[in-house]
Amino acid sequence: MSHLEDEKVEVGFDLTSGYGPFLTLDDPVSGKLDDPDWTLGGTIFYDITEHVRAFSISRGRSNLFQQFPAGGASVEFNNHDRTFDPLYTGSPFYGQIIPNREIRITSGTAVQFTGWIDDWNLTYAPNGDSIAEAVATDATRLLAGRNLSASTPAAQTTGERINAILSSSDVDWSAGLRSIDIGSAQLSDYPIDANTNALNYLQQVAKTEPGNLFINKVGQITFQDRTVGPTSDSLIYLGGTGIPFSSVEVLYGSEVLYNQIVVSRLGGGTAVAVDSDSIGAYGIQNLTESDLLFDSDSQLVDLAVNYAAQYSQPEYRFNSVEVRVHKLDETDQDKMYGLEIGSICLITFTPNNIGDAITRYVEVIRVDHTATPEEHIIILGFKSLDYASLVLSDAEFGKLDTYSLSW
Amino acid sequence: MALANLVLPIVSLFKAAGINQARNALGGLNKEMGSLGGTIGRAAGAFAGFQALTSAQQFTVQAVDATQRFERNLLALNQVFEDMSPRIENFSKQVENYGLSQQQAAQASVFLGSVLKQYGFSVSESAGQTERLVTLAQDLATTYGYDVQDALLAITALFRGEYDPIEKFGVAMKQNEINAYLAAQGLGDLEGAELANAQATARLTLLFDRAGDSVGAFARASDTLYASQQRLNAVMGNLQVAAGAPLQEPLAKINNSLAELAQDMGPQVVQIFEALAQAVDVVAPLIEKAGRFVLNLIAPLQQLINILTGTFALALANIGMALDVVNAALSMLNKFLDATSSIFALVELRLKQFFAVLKDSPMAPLIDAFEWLVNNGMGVVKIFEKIGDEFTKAGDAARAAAGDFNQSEFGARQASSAARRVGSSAREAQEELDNMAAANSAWTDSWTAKAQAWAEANGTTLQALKESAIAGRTGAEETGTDYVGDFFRGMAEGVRKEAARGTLERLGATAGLIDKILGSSGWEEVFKRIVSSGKAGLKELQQEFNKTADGIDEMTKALEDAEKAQQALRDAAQKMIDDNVANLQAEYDRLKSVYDEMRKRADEFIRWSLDNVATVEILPNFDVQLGRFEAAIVSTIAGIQSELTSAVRSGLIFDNDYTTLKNWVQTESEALTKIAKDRDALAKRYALSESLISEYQKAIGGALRLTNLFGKLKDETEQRTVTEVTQGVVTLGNSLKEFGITVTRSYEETIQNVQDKTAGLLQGFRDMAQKSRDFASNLQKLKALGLDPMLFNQLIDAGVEAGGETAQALVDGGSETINEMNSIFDEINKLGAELGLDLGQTMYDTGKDMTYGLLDGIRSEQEQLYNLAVEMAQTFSQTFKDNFSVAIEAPVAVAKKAADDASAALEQAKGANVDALMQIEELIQGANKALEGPLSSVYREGVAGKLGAFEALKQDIISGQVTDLGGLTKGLTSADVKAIGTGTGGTNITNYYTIAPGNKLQQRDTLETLVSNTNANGSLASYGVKA
Repeated sequence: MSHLEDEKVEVGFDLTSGYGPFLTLDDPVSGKLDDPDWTLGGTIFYDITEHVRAFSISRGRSNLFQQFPAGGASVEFNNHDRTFDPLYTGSPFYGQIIPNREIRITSGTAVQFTGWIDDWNLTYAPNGDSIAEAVATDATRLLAGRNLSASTPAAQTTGERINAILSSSDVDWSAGLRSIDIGSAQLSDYPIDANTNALNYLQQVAKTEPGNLFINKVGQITFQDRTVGPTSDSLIYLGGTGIPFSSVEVLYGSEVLYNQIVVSRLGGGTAVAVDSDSIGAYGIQNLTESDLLFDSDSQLVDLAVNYAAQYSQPEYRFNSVEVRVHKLDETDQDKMYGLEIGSICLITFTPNNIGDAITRYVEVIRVDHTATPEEHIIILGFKSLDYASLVLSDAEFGKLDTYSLSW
Repeated sequence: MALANLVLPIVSLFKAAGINQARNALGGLNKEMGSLGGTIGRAAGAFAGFQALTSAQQFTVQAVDATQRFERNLLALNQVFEDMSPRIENFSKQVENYGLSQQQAAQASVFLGSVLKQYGFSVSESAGQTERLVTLAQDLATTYGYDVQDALLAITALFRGEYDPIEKFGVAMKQNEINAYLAAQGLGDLEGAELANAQATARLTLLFDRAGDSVGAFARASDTLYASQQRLNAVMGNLQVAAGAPLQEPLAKINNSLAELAQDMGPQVVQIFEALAQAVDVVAPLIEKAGRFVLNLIAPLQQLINILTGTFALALANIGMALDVVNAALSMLNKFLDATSSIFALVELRLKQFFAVLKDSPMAPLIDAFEWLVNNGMGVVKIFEKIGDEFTKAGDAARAAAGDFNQSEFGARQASSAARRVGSSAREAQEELDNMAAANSAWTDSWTAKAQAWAEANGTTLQALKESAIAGRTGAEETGTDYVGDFFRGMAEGVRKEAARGTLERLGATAGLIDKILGSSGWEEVFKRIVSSGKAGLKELQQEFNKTADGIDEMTKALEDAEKAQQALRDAAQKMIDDNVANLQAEYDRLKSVYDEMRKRADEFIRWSLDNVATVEILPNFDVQLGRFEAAIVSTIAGIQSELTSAVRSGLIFDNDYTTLKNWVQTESEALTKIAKDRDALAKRYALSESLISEYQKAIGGALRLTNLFGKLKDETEQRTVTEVTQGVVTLGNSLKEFGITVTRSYEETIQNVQDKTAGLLQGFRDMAQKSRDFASNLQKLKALGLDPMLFNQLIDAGVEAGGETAQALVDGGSETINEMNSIFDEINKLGAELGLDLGQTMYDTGKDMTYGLLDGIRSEQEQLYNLAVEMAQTFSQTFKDNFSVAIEAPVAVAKKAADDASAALEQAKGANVDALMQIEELIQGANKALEGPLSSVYREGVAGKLGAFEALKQDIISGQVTDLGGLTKGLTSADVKAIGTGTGGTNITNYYTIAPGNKLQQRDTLETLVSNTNANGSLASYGVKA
């Protein structure tokens, strides 16, 4: 049995007859008026999973200080019957095998990716094993294509600024496609230059927070501020008694070692935080963040100190784990399918079952799927949460002296 | 006659020799006879050639045509080859051996040379290549059997890029070969004339390369019939040119004369031509008849000589009879030739008389041409034929022309009469020839009897001799016998009489005496005695005759004729004088009329022109009349120039005066225009000065305005960059870890400066004063440095600097501040005045004061210019009037002088001396008569010179300038004539002996004399008389 039976791949085609769920007169089911399931036409998601031979999804970032790139997906279709051949008039999707078709991938009941097809790659093998590949990216590309007019924004929080930008006539982003936290940082009214790229500016806002700005699984632009802490209910346990993972990658070294933090803001000062001991031990490891949008230098100082506190000493950090989802039971599969960027996991790992187990709270910053009829593998990338925020009333994160009060 | 001169010595030989001597001479007789036979044969051949006159004429005509063509070729050759033409001319002469006549070679050279020059070859290059190409054309024609002309055409076609024609001469060539050749030479990018020249050069090179086999073909074929025929043709062609060349000039004269005659003389010349044509009609067959007679006479004589020559062995026994026969025959021939000579002498005499008549007619040039032909061996017969043809043609042309028959009627009648006399003489001569023919018949009978006796004595028969003789005769013998008979029947005595008359005339006998002699019986004996007595004897006889009744009658008649002639001469002289006076009177009247008309028109023109044109007005007010002054002058000058043009066209002033006046007006107008421009410029400077001074005052005043100064005393702020640095240690609660923290911040800060406005106002004035000082100082420095006045003006426009204002500040400052400010203000005002002064001086260098002085100065200068312009204009007007009057008066004066001179000449002519005129006329006639006779060249030159002097003196006498010949008479030497003639004071005769300036004819004659003398001793390359 193919594991793709739990997956669903849908593509939005704008068909006018035949294949779609169109209104059919005198039909007892599809002939009813005012039934939204049966339409006269327009773009409708068509489940074409039966043609899918494999897919992969890649979302999130690999580096802590990197901005979230656009998420992407690749779906490989069986094209023996030329269904996905744009020149084949016999295809039920003839005329719609074109770029910019919306695609949605669902695992179990959870959507894993929503985006738009950029390319159709067709491969014809001499033995007739023809393949069509749809390559898609998420809505990040839409933001990347828009520029802002010159303006002077109001002094506001990061979430407010993001919403303001998304609502501006230059971007005009649908409110239904947003998931924006209020934000903790206060931004100045530093003017926006004309032709400033909308995506770059929004990522600059997110970097000031610092928070996560990305397109979530269902296609919403999502901003997670720095104060949102993990909760026990949503906590995913990996390893140990939790969801097993097939492999784990640990970082311990200078990859994320910074003992001199230099941060500056537009229209303001520059704050430099140094860990002299660390510098003495490891030499200067500099991290510079510039052009931040804080409205005060004190926020710069807070940011610099926190970065110094988190990264001035080498730490044992879980970088990623690989989970073979197809091996899990349905419950764990649902947990895995329910993970999103920003999800908090607790990893328990006893290397070679020797000694004490190592446990670390981590925040998911990357989710990659690889699904074939034989298997479905999810690779999670993490950000260490050694200094996760204190969450009141939470069974785990509400413990005093364990979690920090955020800055 | 040449033939007679050959025969007579032989006859004398026989006459002088006795029998024995004859026998002894037999050995040489054979030789003599042979020689005689050859001579006779040549004579017969000559007369036979006479029969072939037509073909000879044809040769002549062809020669003339060929020469004409050659002359045209030479002209073209000079034009094409310029300084290289002598080389080509020489080349054309040398190619005779190459089968090309001079004319053909010249024609081909012109053809090729012209083409080569068109393709950019220099004259020198063209000459060299032409020589090569002409010989190549002959070689190609020889090789391929075409005509030379075909080869030349093919070569020239080749230069045009047509390659087909040359192919038949074995030369294959294509355009792409030429292109490739040029590309190989690096000439592929040429254009236009350079390309054409390069292509032509390439074609030439390839032509000689590819025709190499043919080069020298004609030389190699020199022994072939073709080559010899070509050379013969070339030689004949050159002979034709050589023969025709001498005929060109006289025939051209004839043609020109006939053309002029047809144009000028009109129908009256027709009468002359018709009469002459009739005479020629008569003379021509006469000469032809004589020729045939001679031919028929010679033919049997030649046979006789042949018989004698061939039978001398038999003749030895009866040599005396044979010699008698020969003697008789030769005697007869001698007689005939003498008679024939007389006939031709008669005809020629009549012709000369005819020509003498025509010499005074407009046909004189024609006669000169004929005489040249006679003197250069054309022969009487050809002359007649030519005369006949040409006169007939001219007569036809003249008949077709309309004209006045009465004009020159007298000359025409004279010519007709003379022509009739020619015809009459010819007819007489024919009668004589007939008589001679009759006599010949008797002579023949006698000769026949003697011959028969001689034959019998020698054992043969006359018949055999006749048959032998007849065998060699032509068919003309039978008809010739008739001519001989006719000839002698009417010839002898008349011819002798006419010959005797001529002799007697030459000896000085009068007509009456001659008639008396010739009319006497036995006149020949009388004639012989008279002739033998010479001129002295005849003179005595004449004196005796004059005493006879006939002599007295003749003398009386001669006297009467002389008196009549004298009267006619006087009448003619008087008529000359009267005609001259009448002509002078008419000329004087005409000149007087011209003068009166010119005087009248000049007066009117001067009045009108000076009143309406030559006045220049000066506009008094410059500031509102800018440009109008100049325009007014230009308009006036244009009017003057127009009138000057009108005046010169109507002849009221001379060209030189026109040019002088025009140039003067132009110069003056330029001077006046310059003054006008100066005034305009000064006016502009005046306006500019006013504006500049005003602006300066405004600038200085504005700078001192308190409100402006106070405006500068506003509160000031200062922008400063502030950098804050905060350092500290931060400890995180959960780890007690400390972090060093440094915060830096830079920002701009504005600092407000509160000012003491009262003090600031005072300071502003101080600053302004200093700036004004600096400004003035700088301007002075800039002036010294030669700053452009306009830049200087711009600096002034910029002003010193504006100040602020506030009345409150003045109040706050109190009296002390106000006093100080007033003081500073005065200082600035003074500085402004100094600056204005400097400015004016800088701008115009005429400034008086800061403002008014400057403007007054400009006005003063403007007034001076105005006064100068007025003065110049007045001077101009007056000078122009004066010059214009003078210019117009000059031609009027000339006309008046001409009229006065004509009047004086008229008065002088009225006093002309008829006797003196008759005397000079007689001298002129005597000189002319002398020139008609046989004169040595030296004597003829002297007489001709004197004749010219007489003619010149005649004009002086007619004009009344000379009334006395001063002893001038006939028989004087040329030197005496010159001395006496110039001693009369006559202008014409003096000029005759003087190389007067402008007398080109005299100058040329003198120069040619010098050249002749120089060339006799050396060589003079060229000379000329400046035109």
